[in-house]
Amino acid sequence: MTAPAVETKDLVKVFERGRRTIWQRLRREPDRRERFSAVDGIDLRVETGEIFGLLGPNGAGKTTTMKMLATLLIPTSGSIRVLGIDPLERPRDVRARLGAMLSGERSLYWKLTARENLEYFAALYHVSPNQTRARIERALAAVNLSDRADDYVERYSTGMRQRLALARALLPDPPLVILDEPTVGLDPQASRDLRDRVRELRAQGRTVLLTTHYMEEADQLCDRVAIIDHGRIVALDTPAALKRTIRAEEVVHLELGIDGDDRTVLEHLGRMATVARSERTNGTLAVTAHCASARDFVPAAFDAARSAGATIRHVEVVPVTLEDVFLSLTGRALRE
Amino acid sequence: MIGDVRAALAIARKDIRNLSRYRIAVASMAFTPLYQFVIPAFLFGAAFAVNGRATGLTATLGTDDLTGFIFLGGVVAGIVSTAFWGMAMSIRNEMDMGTLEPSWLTPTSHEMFVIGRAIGGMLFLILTQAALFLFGILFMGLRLRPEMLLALPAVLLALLSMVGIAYLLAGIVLLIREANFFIDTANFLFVTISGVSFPVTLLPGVLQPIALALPTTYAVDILRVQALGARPLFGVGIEYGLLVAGTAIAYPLGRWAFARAERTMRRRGMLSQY
Ligand SMILES: Nc1ncnc2c1ncn2[C@@H]1O[C@H](COP(=O)(O)OP(=O)(O)OP(=O)(O)O)[C@@H](O)[C@H]1O
Ligand SMILES: [Mg+2]
Repeated sequence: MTAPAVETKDLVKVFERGRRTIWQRLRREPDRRERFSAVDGIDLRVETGEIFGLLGPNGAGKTTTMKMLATLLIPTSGSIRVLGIDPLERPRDVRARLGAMLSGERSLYWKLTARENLEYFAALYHVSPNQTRARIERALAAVNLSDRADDYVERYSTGMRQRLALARALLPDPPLVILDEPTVGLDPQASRDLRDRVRELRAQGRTVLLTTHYMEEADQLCDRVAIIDHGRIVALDTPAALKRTIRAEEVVHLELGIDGDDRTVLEHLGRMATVARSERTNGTLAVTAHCASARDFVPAAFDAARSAGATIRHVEVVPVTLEDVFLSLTGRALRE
Repeated sequence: MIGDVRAALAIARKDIRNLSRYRIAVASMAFTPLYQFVIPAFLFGAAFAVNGRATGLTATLGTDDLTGFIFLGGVVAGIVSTAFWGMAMSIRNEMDMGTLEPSWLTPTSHEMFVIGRAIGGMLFLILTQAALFLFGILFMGLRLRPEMLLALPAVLLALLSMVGIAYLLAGIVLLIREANFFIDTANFLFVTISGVSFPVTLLPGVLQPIALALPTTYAVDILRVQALGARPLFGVGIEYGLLVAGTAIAYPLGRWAFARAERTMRRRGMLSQY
């Protein structure tokens, strides 16, 4: 048994909303700032060599968690071990071994070339001068940027900048890489390319912890996924096991035209499948149902609709995704 | 340790490289002191001169070399603004740009971000001052005594104490919202009260004790004594003592404030709020 790459116990981060002016401070007015927990008791254990994903909607606390691991934020309570080291006690030792990509393209010097950027950060990572060249070549090769290394970053596309930010994270030759939303803002082609790079990191024996709010990404890329919402982990397992938890083989999206009350039709549908979500806008009712077999459910749904005075306008059958898992756990969609 | 030293040099090199990509902006930066400070001060002094002689200056300082007086003031003004803008505000600018966070994620001690900029800023200062002096000698009749070099230790001490103050300033601008306004105002006050453009003895009474607490006041005074033969405030020996004392206080105080600011940022998560 090797030690886990990342371990947190009951990790909590409380922020204060709003500002306290110097005036209020000087007059010793009571502190009226609202306190809320961005991370609310997270227990994580990321094993060496896996790609682990934190999947959650906006504001779930993913970035906050990553920043605590990366020594940028001090937790309110709880404990952290990164590669067996406590970031509170030995922050510089953690930083020396950790490859972190937290914010992508804005974190580079646009007026410098890719190589100049990497030379600068190699010095900050204390890479010894006689190793710097080789380290930079390796990092550039790992993200497929070797042939564009001497271009100014301002001439790069967003995807290339994101890859350069990843190359920078590889400079310390880190056993653990953490990536915050690595593919956000990238087109499908660039995202796929970046995911391939991440898989290569695993092939090299590195551990990867990443956050995402794209369920496909978590599904395709991660060995294990923790679904997080409101600062808490609501489910944690392999993508396949998570999808098995919603005892359904297929997901059916229905769009119904309906004038009156929609309770009857929902009740009918509920007898044949699990209604994971329903949303009414004027004369339209959108329903997401989890069922064992769409072949049986869809014809029955047409009958149910007719008997309740509604018409089905659109049917879409899709396989179960992590989106549905999130929906069944929280009653909300990942992206709203 | 050696890694941190290399990192500091890399920070200086990166800043200079980055500057070299903005040539026109840099050239205008180098000559701002000329039209913002040197020429106005010179014209002002010339306007009040009697038969071309700065009699007032002679009475207070024992020299009538207005040009020399102003250019030497410019050296200290340059040191002060290097600390305010080059060492402190530039860290804040990187925070706003988004490049501070990845730098903060490396094992380099965060103090090096001030030290590295001090090194880069000093090189830039030497270049701009050389350009200004050349301009003064060629076009404004600037003449300096070679003894001026004797004031070099005072200049270095002033620079060192300003690194201490830059730590303090960096701590402040990383935390406050109106960083630009703060640095602009504080820089102006600091320069003025140091007696860069007129003798400190002419400052209003309430400001005098502040002037006497600033290390730059003594640096500029020693410079003028050595280079122009001006009358010193207290005597060169005493002023060196005060300079050393000022540095000895400013340095640990600044580092303490910087470390506190850093902790506050780590508690509140302020590094990437834009
Ligand atoms: N420094 C801060 N001060 C106050 N509140 C903060 C701070 N940083 C984050 N928050 C708040 O904490 C909550 C969690 O934010 P966090 O950035 O961790 O979410 P996230 O899961 O990364 O979301 P996203 O997908 O939008 O990146 C949000 O409500 C956010 O507004
Ligand atoms: Mg985030």
